Amino acid sequence: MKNFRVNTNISSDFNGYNYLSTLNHQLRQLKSEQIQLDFSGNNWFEANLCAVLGAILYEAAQDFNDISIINLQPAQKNIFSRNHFLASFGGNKIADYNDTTIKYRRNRLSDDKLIKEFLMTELINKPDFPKLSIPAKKEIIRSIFEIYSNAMLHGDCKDVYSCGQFYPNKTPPRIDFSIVDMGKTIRRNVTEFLGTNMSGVEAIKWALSDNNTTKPRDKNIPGGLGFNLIQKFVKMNKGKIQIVSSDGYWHFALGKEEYLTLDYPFPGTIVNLEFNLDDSSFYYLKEENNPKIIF
Amino acid sequence: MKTEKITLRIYDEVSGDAAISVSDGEAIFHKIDAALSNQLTVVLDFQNINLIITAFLNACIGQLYSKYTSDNLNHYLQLENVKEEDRHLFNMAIKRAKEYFLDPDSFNKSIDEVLGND
Repeated sequence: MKNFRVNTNISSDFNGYNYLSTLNHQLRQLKSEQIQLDFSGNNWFEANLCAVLGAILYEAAQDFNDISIINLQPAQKNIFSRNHFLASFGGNKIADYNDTTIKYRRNRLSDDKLIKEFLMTELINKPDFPKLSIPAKKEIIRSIFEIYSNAMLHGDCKDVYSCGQFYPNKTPPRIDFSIVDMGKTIRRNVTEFLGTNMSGVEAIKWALSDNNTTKPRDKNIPGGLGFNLIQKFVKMNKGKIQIVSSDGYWHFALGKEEYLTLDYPFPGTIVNLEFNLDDSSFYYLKEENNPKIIF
Repeated sequence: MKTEKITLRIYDEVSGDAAISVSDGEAIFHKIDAALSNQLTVVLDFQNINLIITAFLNACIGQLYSKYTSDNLNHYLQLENVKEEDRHLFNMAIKRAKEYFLDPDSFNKSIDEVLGND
């Protein structure tokens, strides 16, 4: 029996991701073990990060490990049941009476129609935030789908994990949404594409630079627009984006960005989007002088 | 009498009001391509579409620039009922596709350019 204590509070920040990638590294050393993830020392685990934890635990279970989650605080147990995370690890699911969760899901990428239906239901049928304009809401939903399609195109994996959480009582109210794939990292994609070895941070920098895309040439489809668009919107919305891939971490908020290196590489890509729901802007991100579409 | 124009209703093609699937975009690209190859005019009707992502447009429209010129497309491809707030997405995808297919091999920046190395 191996016991892993989650002693620290886990938020969507560098320390949180560093903890989770270290946990992943430790679990991946084990085969055919009974593993307990003990939350007795943990008072805060941001619910959107269930996508990351779910991906880590699912992968560890593929090595015939038997995993259980124990000693969750009552409030955490409640939220992990409402967002259906515990249901994947031997627990129950209960109705989300507050309607603040976007359910934890491991989605088969081949089921893109089902993913679309699921997310549309989860995102559109949420309580209205009075100050959130309709264009802002639309941009939030669009951003989430852009990230999903990115994971499908570049991750080269079977599954994508996602989970989100509304925080209506925070100032300003916000939504965090995390999307995780355990496929090819950005570092591996860029390294293979350019034929140059580089760090996780360098690879993320390259991938985020204007125009760059590792989309396969044989697909004959141009790419590289989605992140650019999301970054512009997040800046106006005063939200944030984070990317973790291999040992690279990138954080963008309020027009400033930060790059850091994790202690252990994460064997996939995490994208976390945070949107400010106190946004009454009525923007269209449109080109003012060129509304006509010319081929 | 033979038809000279076909209309692809995106709402029907993507089975709903959200154009967010790359595979849907590719399927529509192939339909457009088949029609254009037969000198037909194609109308893409976006009525009732409430959500579009650039990945869909890259697959559906951007890919056309691998086979057709702007003149061809301006002559044979028509867009209808595109919402004003979505027009910038089309313009972005078209601009990107033109740049990309002009010279795909030198489209990406080198790592040294990005990182500012000499």
